Amino acid sequence: MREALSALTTRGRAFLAAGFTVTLCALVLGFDALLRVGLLAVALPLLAAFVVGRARYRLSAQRTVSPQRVSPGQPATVSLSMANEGAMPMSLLLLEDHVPYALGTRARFMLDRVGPRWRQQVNYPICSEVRGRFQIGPLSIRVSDPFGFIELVRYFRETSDLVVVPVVHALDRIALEAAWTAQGENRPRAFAVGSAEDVMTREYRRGDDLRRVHWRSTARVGELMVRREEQPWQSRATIVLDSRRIAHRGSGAASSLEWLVAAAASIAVHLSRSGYSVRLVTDRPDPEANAWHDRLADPQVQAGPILDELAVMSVSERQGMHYAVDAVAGSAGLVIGLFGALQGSDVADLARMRAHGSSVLAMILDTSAWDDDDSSKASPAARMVGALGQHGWNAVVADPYESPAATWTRLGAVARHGARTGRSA
Amino acid sequence: MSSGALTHQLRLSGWALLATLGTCLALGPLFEDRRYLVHAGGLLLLAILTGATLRALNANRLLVFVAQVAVAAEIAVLAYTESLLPTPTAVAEIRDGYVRFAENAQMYTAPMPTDASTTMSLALIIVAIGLVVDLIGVTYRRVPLLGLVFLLVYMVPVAQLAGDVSVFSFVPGATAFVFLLAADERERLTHWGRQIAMSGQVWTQAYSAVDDSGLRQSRYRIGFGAVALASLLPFVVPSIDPQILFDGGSGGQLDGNDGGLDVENPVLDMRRNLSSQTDEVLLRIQTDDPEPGYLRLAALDRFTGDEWSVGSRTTANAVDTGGALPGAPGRVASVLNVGRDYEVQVTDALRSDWLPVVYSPSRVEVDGDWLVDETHFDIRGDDGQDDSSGLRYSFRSTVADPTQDQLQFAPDPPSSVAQFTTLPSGFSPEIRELTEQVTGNATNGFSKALALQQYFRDPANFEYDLAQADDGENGEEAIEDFLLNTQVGYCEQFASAMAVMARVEGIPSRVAIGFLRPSESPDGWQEFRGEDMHAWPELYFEGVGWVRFEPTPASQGAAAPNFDAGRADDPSATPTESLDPNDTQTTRVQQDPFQPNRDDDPAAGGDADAGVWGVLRIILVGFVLLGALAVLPRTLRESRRRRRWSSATTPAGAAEAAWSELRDSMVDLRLPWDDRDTARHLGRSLRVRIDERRRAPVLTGPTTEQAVQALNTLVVAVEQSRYARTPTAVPGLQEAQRTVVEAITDTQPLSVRRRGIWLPRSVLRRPGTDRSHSRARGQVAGEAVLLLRD
Repeated sequence: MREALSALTTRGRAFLAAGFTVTLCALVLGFDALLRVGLLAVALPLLAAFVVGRARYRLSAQRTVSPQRVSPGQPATVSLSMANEGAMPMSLLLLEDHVPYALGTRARFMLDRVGPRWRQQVNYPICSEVRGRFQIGPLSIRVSDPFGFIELVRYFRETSDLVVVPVVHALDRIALEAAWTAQGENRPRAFAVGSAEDVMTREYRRGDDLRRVHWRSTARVGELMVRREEQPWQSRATIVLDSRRIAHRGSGAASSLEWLVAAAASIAVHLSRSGYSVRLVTDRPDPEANAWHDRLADPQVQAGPILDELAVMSVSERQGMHYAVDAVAGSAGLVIGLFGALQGSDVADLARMRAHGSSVLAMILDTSAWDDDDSSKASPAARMVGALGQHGWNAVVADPYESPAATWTRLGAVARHGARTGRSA
Repeated sequence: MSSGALTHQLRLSGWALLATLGTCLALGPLFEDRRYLVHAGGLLLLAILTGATLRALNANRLLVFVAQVAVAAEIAVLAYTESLLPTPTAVAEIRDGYVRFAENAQMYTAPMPTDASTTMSLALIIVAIGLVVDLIGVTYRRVPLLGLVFLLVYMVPVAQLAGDVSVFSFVPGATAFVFLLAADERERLTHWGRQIAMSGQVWTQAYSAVDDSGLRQSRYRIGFGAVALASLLPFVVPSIDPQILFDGGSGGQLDGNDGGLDVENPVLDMRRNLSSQTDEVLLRIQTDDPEPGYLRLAALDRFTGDEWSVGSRTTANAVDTGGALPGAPGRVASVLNVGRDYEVQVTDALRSDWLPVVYSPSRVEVDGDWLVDETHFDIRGDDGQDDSSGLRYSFRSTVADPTQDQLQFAPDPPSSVAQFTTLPSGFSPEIRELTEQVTGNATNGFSKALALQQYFRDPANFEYDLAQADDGENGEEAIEDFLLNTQVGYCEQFASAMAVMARVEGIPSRVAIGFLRPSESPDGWQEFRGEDMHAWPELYFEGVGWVRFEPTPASQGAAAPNFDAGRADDPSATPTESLDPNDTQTTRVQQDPFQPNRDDDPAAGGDADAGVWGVLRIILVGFVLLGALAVLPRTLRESRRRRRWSSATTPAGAAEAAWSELRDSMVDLRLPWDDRDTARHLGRSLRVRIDERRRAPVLTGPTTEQAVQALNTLVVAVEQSRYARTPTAVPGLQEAQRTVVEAITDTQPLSVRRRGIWLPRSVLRRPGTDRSHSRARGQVAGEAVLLLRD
């Protein structure tokens, strides 16, 4: 009762105050008829508080979101399992699951008269058009009376997350192998070539341990085959994403960063499907920069952490790319750079990346195309392509009028050409 | 707009209509029939349907209202006039009807007879109320505000009938209003979101099929419960008499003791005055009347069986003293009148709602709002605003001097005075029998009245004794007791008994209360004192009007009116003139079935006068109490501070006092303070707060450096007091503490500072607990050190 009284709404307080005043006046003036009015105004909120305060509420709620990772425009379903844990029936309850505006309309439910041992599951869809990580919940419960005098609000603590990953474009298979056959290692093989078992065996060579002979393959192929345990696939790819504010133009979904993020997501998914171990490196310091996301076999799942990271990618305030260079410098493999507007000083950093990587490709954004005011100026991106080319980068200029997939195809062409020129050089 | 929303609107409009009509039901007692409710209901229904339709079309809100008014006006024209459209003549017709109604309303006391114009006007007024209700409640969705509108409407009958509005006229309006509130809230609740049903079925369309059975159940429970409480509680808890509230009980004690006499209920005051025989001068008059006397305060016209009381007086039946006064009721021109002029000075001792005058006044010159009741010719302060203390006024009275013939041959009283012959049902047969014996073979009313008077004045029958009389009783039982058993009483018993017996004989009668006979003061004024209060019966004879009788025995010194001595009229003379029963001067009097019940209880007092005083007094007392309550916390805090410093005599005590004082100040400011924490640690956290001042330049108060230094002083002192073997005295602790508090207070927002001053939270803690606690810890620490040394 006291709890309910402290939850009086403005309306309830107004009625109480007016009622007390009228009652007092009526008592002093001795007007019974007026006394009734005052008593009515007092009795209404008090009775409401009594009725609300008398009920005992013990509601349990559990929320599941599935899938927890969606791409923009893909709906997800939130389901709430609720149960009345108390033995008492409950009166009207208003539930609201806090849903960010980007995910859709408010999830509001009304529960009228819930009996003991009541159990119910409620589903509602959510859907976002923008990437990001969204918090769903907490679930709030309002207990109200039929006259709006009382409103008790209680919150559950539990919240859930929904990750909306960037848009993933289907990319063409480009002949990256052309670039790597020359390297002699890091050879990815498409699964389409054969079964997983095929991938894992090779011909017997002199000196191989006999215990490594894979008899079943031997029986099938007709030659001695051994398991290639000592040589796991080392096809690694590093995606370098330039998220510096100075390198980007535009804002929101139409900004240049969004284009790069979409490209990064597409490439990460594409490469991991193609058998690469993929990691994402940005201009930010990242203790896990050397963690290769290759633990799990499912390519979709393998790209997951990268997609999560990309989902919440935002611009950074850094000026240079040192962290990215340091992270890349420690390892070899395919490097795909996705850059915004590059400064002259960046070229030296990027040159250092090349020094360690075996194959470096880059997309350089023509950011002036995102900038309405700057469209007349000559694109500096083309100059950068040339400058990086001198350091061994195979780069293309990207602009907003082309999808990442098309740019990827162009990049593939340039890479093949560059590989050829590299071989001829 | 969906069909659900339309349904909701209709529901809201419907309840608003019902609430309007229900509230207007309370107007019922003011009028004779209630056809106007039906008229208003029909008109409103059409207006509401118009509104609902237009709102369904998303019309502008004001447009909706204008259309509703137009529809109501058109239908009113159709219904109440000949014309089809609201032409100027039709409007004038309606206006004329309204003017007629307004005039009637001025003329009649409640209940007013209803004719066509009344029904129309009332219906239109209710329609106007209903349209405003619809505008506020449905169009603008401000339902709680409607409470004020309904309260206003409800107050009209309450004010007119002095608060005596039947509970049955309260319940319908209140119930409808409660459900109107619920209907408004229902929409908010059911529009909250999807409903999760018991069965596991989920309705996706939020508005279509909302099951609100649980809601409805608690709505009924709360709504009907509140209405029932509001209707029944006033019966259980009778309204408290303001007199009892503020005067500490009025058990027959004379109010004049504290400087005067409050006259509200004249009977009561006469009793008090007579029983206490106060000789305080209440009023002084100068007059050309050789034998002044019988100044009337009020007439008790209603005999309920329990008592004689002042019936309802309505303003509708009264004229202001400023205007021309009507002639005395029932008196025709042929009756001889003697005009007398009176000059009156009321002393401060008499605070009366009633103005003493001699019957019947024809002109009164007085300041303030005084209303002359056209039936009783008693003069009363308007709404109890004026009382008579210190008043000077003059009046002229026409004292009737009828011939005996006029009295003897008075025709039967007309029905307009029938209310003055009513006796409660089952009235005592013994009194009836006695009356018959007394009046014996008297043939006409006047003879009977004389016989009664003679009966009372006969010393063989009754004894005048103020002391032995039953105090304050003039009800049926008391009269029966007086007539048949004790035969001892004073003027009140005599007057009321005679009036009752006159009624038994069918003679209209009432009891007048006033002053009997003045004594002459040296300066030539006639003075009336408290002991001069008197009661006498007045009997009505058609053609003559109200005639005063004097049943109280002559031993009291009151002479009977001179006519009973038998004026030298020729007994054979015929009545001088046939008396016209339809004389224009007879005032129309309507039977009032809604007699205020509260008047039955003399202590309840019918007047707001004492109420206003009481309210003022309660407000004054309330203010003083509130003020005292408001300064109480800071006073407690201040006294604790003073005690703390004065009791700090030792160096350790001073340090602890400073520290506790600092603690209390921080608690007052709602800043965190953990008593278990060490002084040094607490000091560090305070230091952070003081350092906040560095961000903004300090213009007043101690500088940050001073504050930090003071804080260090405090911390060192309290550490010494707790941990040193012999604490050394640190000077200036009090200033240091004040500096620190000032510096930290500075960083707090104004609201927090105010709260710290007016509502110091630290007074809630018991003083001393913290110190003993910390000291004890200090001792334990000291012991530990000792043990380690050993």
